[in-house]
Parts: sequence; C-alpha cells; structure tokens
Amino acid sequence: MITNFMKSLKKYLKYILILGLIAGIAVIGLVATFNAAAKADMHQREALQIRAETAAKAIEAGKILDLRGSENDLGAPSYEDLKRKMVAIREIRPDTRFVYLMGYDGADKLFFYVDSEDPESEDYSAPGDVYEETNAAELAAFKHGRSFVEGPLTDDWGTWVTAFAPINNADGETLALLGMDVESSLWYVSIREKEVAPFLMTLFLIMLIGVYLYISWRNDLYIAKMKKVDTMKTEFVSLASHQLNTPLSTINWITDLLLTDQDDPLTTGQKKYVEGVAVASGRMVNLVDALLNVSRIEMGTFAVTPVSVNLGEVVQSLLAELDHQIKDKKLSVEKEIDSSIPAIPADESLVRIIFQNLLTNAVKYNTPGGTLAVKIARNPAFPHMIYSEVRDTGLGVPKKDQARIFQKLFRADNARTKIADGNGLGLYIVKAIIESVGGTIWFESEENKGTTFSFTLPLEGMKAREGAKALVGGKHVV
Amino acid sequence: MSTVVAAKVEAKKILIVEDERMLAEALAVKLQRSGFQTHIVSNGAEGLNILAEENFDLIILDLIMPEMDGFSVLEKLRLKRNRTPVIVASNLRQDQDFERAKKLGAVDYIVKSRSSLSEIAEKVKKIFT
Repeated sequence: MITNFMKSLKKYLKYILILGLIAGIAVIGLVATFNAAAKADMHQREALQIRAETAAKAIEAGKILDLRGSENDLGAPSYEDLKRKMVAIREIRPDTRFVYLMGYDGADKLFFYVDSEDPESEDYSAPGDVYEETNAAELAAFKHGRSFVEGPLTDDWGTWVTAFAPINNADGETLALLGMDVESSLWYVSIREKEVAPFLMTLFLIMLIGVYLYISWRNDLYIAKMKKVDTMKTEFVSLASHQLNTPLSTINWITDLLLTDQDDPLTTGQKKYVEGVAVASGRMVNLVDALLNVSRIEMGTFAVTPVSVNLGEVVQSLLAELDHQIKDKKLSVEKEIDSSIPAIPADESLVRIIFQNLLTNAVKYNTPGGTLAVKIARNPAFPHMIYSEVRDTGLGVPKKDQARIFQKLFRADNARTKIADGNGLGLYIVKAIIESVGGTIWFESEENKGTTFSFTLPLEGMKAREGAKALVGGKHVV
Repeated sequence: MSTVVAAKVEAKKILIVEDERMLAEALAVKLQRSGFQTHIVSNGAEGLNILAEENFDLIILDLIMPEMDGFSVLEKLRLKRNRTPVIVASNLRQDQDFERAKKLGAVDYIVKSRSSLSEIAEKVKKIFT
C-alpha cells in the first residue's frame, strides 16, 4: 500500500512541483504587479504635488488679498488676472481638468476664489461658492500651510486625484489653497501602463511553464503508451513462439517415432526423407527461440536473474551435450579452465546461451579432425573480468565479412555456402547479452585456418534486472 | 535343482494429460514401446476424473490446456493428497514456470520442443528405478 502510494507520488511529483512553481510565479507576479502599480501611483502623486507647488509659486499673494471671495470679484483686475493664470496652468498638461484657488471661511468649509472653468460651463464655480465636500485633511492643509495629494475622491464634478498647495503671505500665513484636479480614469491609465510589463511577464512565464507541462504530460502519455505497446509486443511474441513450438514438437516426436520404429522400419529412402524433416524441424525450433530472444533483446525487456554460476561447469555440461557431434567430426577438445576462478552471480540461462552459441559454432564450422579449444582464465589485461576464449580450426571468417559478423541475420559467404544450418542470429544474441551485462566480445579469424572468439564477463557478476520475460536457451530441469 | 521363477512384473501405468492429440499419441507409442501402459486424456478436468477412479504410477502433464490447466491439476492433486508423481511437459519455459511447477510438487519438467522422445522415455524409466 505504502509503496504503491510512494510510487504514484513519484509519478506525479513532477506535476505537483510544476503546478507549485506556477502558483509561486503567479503569486510573485501579482505582488510585483501590485508593487509596480503602487510605485507608479506614488511617483505620480509626487509629480502632481510638485506641479501644484510650482503653480502655487506663480500666484502672487497680493492678488489674493485683493479678492473678497464673492460675486463682486468678477471683473476686478486681480480676479481676471488670476482667472487667466488658472486657465494657463490647466493648459500646461492635458490630464489636468480643474485648477482653482480656495479660501477658508474660518469655520469648517473652503470656498472658491477663482477656477479655470469658463463661466458658461456647467462645471463653473463662481467666486464665493462653498466647497461643500470640504474634508478635514483639506482644512488641516490650509491651517498648516501644507501641500498634499488626495484621492481618488468623488464630488459633484466627478472622481479626482487632487493636489493642493498653499499660497502664503510673507509671514507664512496661508491665504489660499491652489487645487489641481486630475480625473481618476486618466490618472489610472498611466498606472495601468506600469502594471502591463510585470503582468505580461508573469503571464508569459506561466504560459511557458504551462506549455512545458503540456508537452511533458503528452510525452509521459506517449511513453506510457509505448510501454503498453512494448508489453503487448512481448506478449504477442511469447504467445506466437509458444504456438509455433506446439506443432513443431508434434513434428519432432512423430518423426522420432518413425525413425525408431523397429517393428515397422522405414525403407532407406524413406528414412532419408524423414531425417530431413527432423533436421529442418530442429532448425525451426532453434529459429523460433532465436527470434524470441532477438525480440526480447531489442525491446530491452529481458530479465536477468543472477544465481551462483560456475562457468567451467556450464562449459563441461555443454560439451557433454555436444559430445555426439564432436565425435562425429573427430574433433579434439582442449580445455583450459582456471579452477581458481570463483562461481559468480550470473543468469545461468544467459551464460548457457553465450557458450552454447560459441561452442556450437566452433563444432559446426570446424574441419573434421580439427581442434576445439575452450579457455576460462584471468587475463592481466582485464583485471576485473573473467576472460574466456572459444577457438576452432575451421572455416574462418573471410576478411571482407569480418566487420559484419555480429550483425543480425548476417552470415559470412563461406559459412552460408558450406553449412546450411545457421540463422545469423546467434552471434548477434551473444554480443547483445555480453554487452548488456558489462562485458565485451571480439574475435580473430583467418579464412580456412580458424577463428578465436574472446570475451570478458565482470568478475563481480551480473546485476539483477527485472523484466517481463527471460531469454530462452539451454535445457532446464526441475 | 532350483527353479527360476520369473516374477511377473505388472507394466507401470502412465496417464498422459495433453490436449494436442497427435503429440500425446506419439508420446504414448514411445512409452508403450518402452514397456509402459498409457492412457491419454485431453485436459485437466478429464485427468482429475479418471484419477478419482483409477490409480496411475505416473502422470505426464501439459500446462496450457482448455477446461483446466496443468497448474490447477497440480493444485487439486495436492489438495486430494494424491501422491502420484507428475512430470510436467510443456513448452512454457520461463523460470517462474519451472519454479511454480516445482513448488506444486512436479518431480520433473520437460520442455517439449527441446526434448526428444528417447530423453523423455529415459526420464520416465529413471522415476521407476
């Protein structure tokens, strides 16, 4: 249960991490966006305040003292002069909607001296109009002669961000506040602009990771699908091989019966044909096995199950199995097996397949009366390996074919023309097995003189590998 | 004068449980030639039926069969405490198949495509010596 849970956790860990990363980037991105907006807002407020203060400096205190703060100011030179200034200040920047001067009524309200609005405009404030929305901050600014920015606030005219700057007399007393209104929607346009970069950056990063996540997910799905296909192939090949073996066994056994029936023996001619069937059927069994092994090797799914294996003993038992053919060909066998070499952890089946192929070849391609030599030894050139040689004095591999001898389905010209039995899979399988367990194989050969195959296997043995199926080869007895 | 009394040896009876008819017959003929009595049934269920009525000295058992496979036969035999020796004869040849058969009490395992009839006859003879 727990291992299952850990397994599925491991499987999804990548996704959990990536989703976490996205969430993290989203949070950081939002914070950065808000931060950029807050900074922009602050800078804009500072800039607006400076504009208001600069404008306030252009207003002469004396002109304000001339005003009475009522309709009577209309037409007075100081009023008209200030009105022109208000309009001029407003015109400097298009985001400025109203510029005005306000006085204090001594109680709790500010009132208008003059504004930048045309008297015909609906938004015009006449001299003396009380600013009903006057708040405590504005009163405080007036009383302490401080400039400040407030808003966005909503009043009769709309929603504004407003900067106030005091106009003081020589003694530092505040005579009026200059107000400068920027419409809230315009105000936020430039702040939104500052938000765009971090927001887009965040979005871009998230999309990038999202795309990676998607590709990775598709890839995982693909891999899972391919694994399933591989499993199906493995099962199909196993099933097909099993199905092929059943009729082949029947053919083998029936030919066996025909050839050994003493009560009703075959004629010499018949015997020849039935023996032909037996040989062909035997080759078919080998071919089915070899193809099964090749398919498992190529899918990389074959299992390696190490047990304690003494290579010398494997060679002895294989030589015993080949005894009949060895005697038929009158081969002399030379064995050089270093008995100090320990049994190593190895998959017995794989070891048998290696030696079986090499020994069978050495018998098959040998010349009658030739020599078959097997060596299992240590070799100073390969300190952490067991070194082995299988040598014959037979056909040899022609120079031009030597480079291709381990290729799948390849058979050297002389082998193909002289020995029909052979499928070109044996050495391919042997090389694949040896290399998959960390050894190497090579050979030296001279045509018509013989061939020596040499290979190494790690002294520390083979590592266990789980796989759907093992390679087949050798004989097994319970 | 002593008289030599030839002991009349009853031929050993072998049950072949195998769905491939020709394969079973080839094996039966070979075993008969080697002096055994044989009886062929074509699946595990039939095998168990005949074993309930008759005693055999040896069972040669295929693994993959319709109705009831060889592994189930081995399990059932075990439950019934039937101690007839069993040689498994199958083309399955993964280590796990060998081990499973061994665990369930099979005394030998023959890979059919890899064994000649003579080898099988030898193995059978060995069991009775």
